[in-house]
Parts: sequence; C-alpha cells; structure tokens
Amino acid sequence: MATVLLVGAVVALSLGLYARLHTASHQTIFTLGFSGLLQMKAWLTTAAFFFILIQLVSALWTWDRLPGKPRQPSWLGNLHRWSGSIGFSLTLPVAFNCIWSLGFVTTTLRVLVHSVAGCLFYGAYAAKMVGLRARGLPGWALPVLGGTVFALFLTLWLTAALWLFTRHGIPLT
Amino acid sequence: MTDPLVSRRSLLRGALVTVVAGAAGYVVANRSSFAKRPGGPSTGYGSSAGTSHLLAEVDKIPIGGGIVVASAEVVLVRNEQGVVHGLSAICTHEGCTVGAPQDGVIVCPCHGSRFNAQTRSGDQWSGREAATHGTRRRPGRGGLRPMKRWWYHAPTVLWLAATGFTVGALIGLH
Repeated sequence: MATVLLVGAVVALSLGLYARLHTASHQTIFTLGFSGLLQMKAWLTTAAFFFILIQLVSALWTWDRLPGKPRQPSWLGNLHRWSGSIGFSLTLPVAFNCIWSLGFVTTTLRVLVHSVAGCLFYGAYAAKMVGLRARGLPGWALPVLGGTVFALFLTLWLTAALWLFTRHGIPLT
Repeated sequence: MTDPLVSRRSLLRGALVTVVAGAAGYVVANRSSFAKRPGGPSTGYGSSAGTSHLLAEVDKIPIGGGIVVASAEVVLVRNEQGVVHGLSAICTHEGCTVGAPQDGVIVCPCHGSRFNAQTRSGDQWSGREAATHGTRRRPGRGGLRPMKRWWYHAPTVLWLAATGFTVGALIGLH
C-alpha cells in the first residue's frame, strides 16, 4: 500500500514541479481541428468524461453496487479496461497542452484548483494502475483509489470545460 | 512463493512499449517547428543542443522503409505519409538485433523471425516466431494455460504508449 501511494505521490509531485518550473510557452502546438486550444481541451475532456462515466457504472457493476444487482456479463471487465484506457488517453493531449503551453498557474482560485487537481489526477491514476497489480492491498483500496481518480477528474472538468462552456457559450468545435 | 501478478516479461514489455512510444514522441516533437533550437534562449533545463539526443535525420529514413539505429536499439520506420515511428530493434525471439525493413518486413538475422514494419508503435509484433513461440500459449504450473487474448492487454498497451508518447514529446520539445 505504501509503495502504491508513493508512486502516486512521485508522479503528482514531478508533474507539478515540472509544470511550475517550466516556462509556459503560450504557444498553440496543435488543436486537432478544434477552433482553439481551450476549446480542444474542453471537448477532449468532455469526451473523456463520457468514458469515465462508463468507468463509474462498470466499476459499481463489478462491485455489485448497482441497484437490483444485475448479473455481470463476461465483457464487463473488458468494458471497464477499454473505456478507462480510451478516456485516459484522451486526457493526455489535454495535459500535454496544460503543462507545455499554460503551466501551473496560481493566479485565481479556479486555475489553482485546476492545476492541483490535474497533478493529483495523474498521481491517483498511477497509484490505481499499480494498485491493480499489487498484492495484499486491503479490499477497500481499489474502490477508494478509483473513486479518487473519478472525483479529481470531475473537479478538472468542472473547473475548466464547464467554466469555458458557461462563460462563452458552447463552442461547437 | 506465489506467482507475481505481473511477470518480469510483462513488466519488460510494458516498459518497452512506454519507452519506444516515448522515443517516437521525442522524435516527432523534436523535429517539429516548436522544438527549441540550438542557439535559442537558454531554457534552464540543461543544454538545448538538439543533436545530442538525435537518433537520425528524418530525411535519411526512406519513405515506406526504415533504418536500424543499433546504438539506441531502435528501428525507425517511416510510413507512406512520411510519419516516423520507433520500434524496438531487439527480436522478441532470442534478443538479436533485427535488420532494416525490406518490403515492409523486418527480418531477424539470427533465426528468421519476421515482423511487420508498419505496426505503429511496436506493440503488435507479428510473424512466424512470435506466433509459434508463446503468443497463443505459455507454460504455467500444471501445463499449458491459454494466454489472455489481445483485447485484454491492448488497453494497457494503449495508455502506456500514449503516456510514453506524451512524456517523450514533452522532453523532445526542449
């Protein structure tokens, strides 16, 4: 358990330190066809949000916490693995631009919360991935780690994508 | 002593995927117009001299072919669109260094293992040796047991490769 948390802490700290020390370039490197950097970030995060909702449902299903306790189909594990992997991969171009172009910013409460949650999210994800493969974890460890990943992602989405959408209206691209 | 949850082989494969994708990300980012050039402003992150980590000049890699960078144990392949990808040059069979791709096929000089050079990030080795030596079954206690199918491992490979690529690109931009 200590190793798992240590890995998460190291990942979160190194991301934070790098983003803080690196001078933000404020360059738009790629937008993947979206109208701008922030719009791309917002839409990719929203797409990842969709997959992460699947994560939440399939995790609750795996742990028999869905109402009515439906039978678990054989593809449930694969659904959880695939939706998680795709969702996570969608966040990477976002994080790349966060770190490279914008950096760790503390000027307002919103961006401070977003910066901290961003670092913690990848730390929590790393801890969850190591935790999945570790022996001797207490039974509550994986649900707590997974729940932490979900809560941090929700924070990230609320402090960035939702903010952008409510501020300027929803940009279609 | 119980089986470890992650075998040394899986761990090495995961690390390989991440590093190879990292190398690809590094190369792509480093060749992009956003990368800091030698003689540019000091970054505070060590030398920005671009040549010290250079694997190869992209122009030296034939379109639709590839080259072996033996010092880095990497095969750099370039597809018809001109995009470069890095693959491990270490044969999955006995660990020899493979040859440069010919007609889209990488052949290992030691025992003739064949690999598809257009596989994007080194995660989908295919070919005779890989197919007959353990991609389908591997020995376990109590005899042979089936391997988990590719779709079980693919998500892990996906996020490891994506992470490696992203980190490699961040480093490559410096």
